[in-house]
Amino acid sequence: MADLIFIIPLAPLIGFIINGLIGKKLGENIVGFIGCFSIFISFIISILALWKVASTGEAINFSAGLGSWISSGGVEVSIGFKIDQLSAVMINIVSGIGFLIHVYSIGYMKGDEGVYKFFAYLNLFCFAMLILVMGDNILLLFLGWEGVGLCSYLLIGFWYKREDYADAGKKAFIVNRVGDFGFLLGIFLIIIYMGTLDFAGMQGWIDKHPSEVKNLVGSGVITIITLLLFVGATGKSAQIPLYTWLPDAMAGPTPVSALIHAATMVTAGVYMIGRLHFLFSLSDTTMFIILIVGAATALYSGTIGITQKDIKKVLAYSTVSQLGYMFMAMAVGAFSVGIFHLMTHAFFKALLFLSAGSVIIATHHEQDMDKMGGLSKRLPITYRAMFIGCLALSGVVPFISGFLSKDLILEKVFFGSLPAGKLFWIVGVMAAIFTAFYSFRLMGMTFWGKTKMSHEDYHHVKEPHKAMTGVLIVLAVLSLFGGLIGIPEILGGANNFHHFLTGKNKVFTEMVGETHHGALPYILMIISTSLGILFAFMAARLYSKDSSLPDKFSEKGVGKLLYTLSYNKYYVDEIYDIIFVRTIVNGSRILWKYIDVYIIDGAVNGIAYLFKRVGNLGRNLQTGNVNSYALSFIIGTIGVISFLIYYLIKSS
Amino acid sequence: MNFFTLESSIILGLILFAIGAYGVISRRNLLVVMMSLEIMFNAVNLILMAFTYFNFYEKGDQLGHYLVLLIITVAAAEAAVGLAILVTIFRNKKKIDTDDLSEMKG
Amino acid sequence: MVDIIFLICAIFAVIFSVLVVLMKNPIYSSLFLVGSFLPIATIYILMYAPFVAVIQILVYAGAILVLFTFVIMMIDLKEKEFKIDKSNIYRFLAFGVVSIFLIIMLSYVGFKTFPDNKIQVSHAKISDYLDKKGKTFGSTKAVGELIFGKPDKNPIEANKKTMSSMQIVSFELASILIIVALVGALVLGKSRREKIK
Repeated sequence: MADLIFIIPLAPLIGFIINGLIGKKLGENIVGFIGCFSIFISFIISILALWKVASTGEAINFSAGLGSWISSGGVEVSIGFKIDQLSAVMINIVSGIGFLIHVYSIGYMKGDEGVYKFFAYLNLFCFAMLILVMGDNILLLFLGWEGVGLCSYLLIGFWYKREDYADAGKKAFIVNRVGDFGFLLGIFLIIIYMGTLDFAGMQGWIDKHPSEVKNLVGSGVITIITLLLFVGATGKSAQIPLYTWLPDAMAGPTPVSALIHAATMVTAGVYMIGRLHFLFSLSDTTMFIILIVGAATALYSGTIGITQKDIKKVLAYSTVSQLGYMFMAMAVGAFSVGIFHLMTHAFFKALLFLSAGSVIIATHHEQDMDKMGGLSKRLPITYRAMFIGCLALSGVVPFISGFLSKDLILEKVFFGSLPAGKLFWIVGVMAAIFTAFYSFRLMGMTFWGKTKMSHEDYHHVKEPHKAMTGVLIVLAVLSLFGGLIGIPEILGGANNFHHFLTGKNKVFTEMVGETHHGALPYILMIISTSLGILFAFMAARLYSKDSSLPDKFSEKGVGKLLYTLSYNKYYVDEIYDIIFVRTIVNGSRILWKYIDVYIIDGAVNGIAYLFKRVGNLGRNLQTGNVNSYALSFIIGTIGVISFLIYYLIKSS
Repeated sequence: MNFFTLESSIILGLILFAIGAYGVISRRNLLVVMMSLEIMFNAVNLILMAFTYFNFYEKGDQLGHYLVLLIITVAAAEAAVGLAILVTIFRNKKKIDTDDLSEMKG
Repeated sequence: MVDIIFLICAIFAVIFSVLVVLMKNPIYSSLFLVGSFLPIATIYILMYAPFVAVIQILVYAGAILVLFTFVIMMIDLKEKEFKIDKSNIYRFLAFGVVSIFLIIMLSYVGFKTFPDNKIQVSHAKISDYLDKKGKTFGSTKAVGELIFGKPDKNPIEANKKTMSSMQIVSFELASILIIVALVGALVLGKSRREKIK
């Protein structure tokens, strides 16, 4: 089994190479088949690995046997994969959902001229993501980290002929890069203080040097390291302040949004914290900061999502918000809960995005919800899939996957050991309210009520390709029933998921110890769920019955102010532009105009000019006049003779 | 007053050499340049002769004279060839003024 | 007596050389050049080197300057083409360089105390020695013996003996040089009818 592990990342890599090199000649169908098949192979082996890990409880270690990859200054890093329980879950999510999205893309990208490139990039992305979650050292994780960032850029700007799409790709990459800078600094500090980049090595170092660890914690070094790593996570997982790329990333094709920006890439930050939980749990300050950032992001992006008109942008802000939830869970030490929410979110967010893609294709690339409406009769499968997705997202139906994971998070935050847990619970509930509101607003504007499309456009709308609808059905089933493996004890379940991750091999040592508090957890659950149902219903009524109440609210006074702020994303993009982008551009302009042109070019040109002048002077020696040459002879003679005389005088 | 000493012969030779050098550097007529060259040869011969004479002692011999003879020979050959070249130049360019013969621009 | 002759010859040599350099007409320059050779030859005679003096007159004044005169006549510069050398920058440069040269050399010669040198003898002693001992110092015979070696009195053995002096080599080389120069001058001087107008 251990020997087959390398096939998991290798298959999509081969798919990338084949599709990339000769895909243009192979034709649409073969390219799609190769793309899906390679991921399918990874998925099969991932399932086998999961089964093995679950049955034996032991991690599968695989070493590439290529010797050490980097060996310098006492730090030795080699290429190796380690499938423990956490990785097993992640590779299944990545390859499973990846496979479904590849199948969906066969239908979505039909007829596009760059379809071979698309599948090649998707495969490359899966390769990088798999490396990220399977690597046994931070450097491999970072390699995958950067790889997914690259593929994100390639795929967001896929329709590169439109300049704003290409700009969105650049924005994603650059904002990510800012986060990666912090990440790298964290890695450097780890090298300095622990001397190893292996996860097992790091954990072993911490176990063997308790006094040193205490020193590091006391002096704040661990806090700095974990904060730097978290900066990287904010970039990749779109938290405040580095989230601005994610809404713009909706410029890419919808399968890309589903795979990268809902299910897998943005969860890399959460995974990283889970992987390095032993580091993060050492520093209470960092955990508290993560909690603050996660909660703030969850609430903040929820408030933006309720006014957006583009169907994909609503879902984008929803992703940012849900990622905030995941970080909240990781912050209070409930790592398995965070991963559980990661998994369920992957299911229903992919479902939501793919349904949105189905709507977009069906309405011939119309993305503005203001122009839709009443599509439930024309797109039955899509409508039902999206409805299930929204239910899961808002978590208003008990035992649906989203409900279970979200409520677990809220409960852990409330009872958590971090200060002001109750306050953060309130923030979480408010974010849940907004979530319910915007998801059912989306349903109302898109599917219910009277249509705003023209009569003949409306009758052209029909369900798209079977590949797309089939995937929607599968994902809907997963969203409904996928959470059942994680039902907590208080609701009568065995919480297999939690025990899987914290059980025999102790992947996580969780920080939360308190579990039983009588009736309080149930009361909290009922409060949050009922509030969610209330607001969901409100949104459904407001936006489906053609009520002009939302418009009247946003026309004047406080309502107008709030609406403008929310609709324009609190002008954060503009603020960033002024503070960062303009200063850099102006600074560069100064550097260019003055330093480069005057000083550096001046120096180089000046040297050339100097040589030219000296050469011009020297040119005058060659006069072509016999007399001047004779003069040179005589001068030389005088020189030689005086030299001789000098020596004669000296010696006598 | 003893004028005829080695020292004064050398001084005479030097003065003649200097005059010849002045002529070579200063005159623009190539013929006069060649004549000044002959003056320089003369000066050198004079100095050589002076040394052979005033350093004569019983075992000495006249190698200096022989060297002067050779120098005169070489000077003759050089004058012949130099004048032939000058004639060729004159035939081609119709002038023997060094300033006009220089083809350098600027 | 000798001193006065030397002084007069020296003055004439210098004056004539200066006139060579300063004259505009090249014919005048060549005449003064001849005038410059004669005092030099006289000085050679004073130095007990008659052979060299005669050779100097023959070769220099008799051959080289004749050549010069022929060439001057062939070039046939017109009166107006005697360039005015006053506007020449090289005049000043030459003056400067030559004066530096003279200053350096004359000061060296002046400050070096010749009488300390044991090798040098004054003219009076040398001439006394040469007159009394009857040695022929600079005569033709002496130079010939220098080049070709001392003749053997016995005619038969004289034929067999090879000339074994070093100076033979340079002698032969000088003759080769003359032949080469002759050929070169011939080739260069060949009149090309198509070029002469």
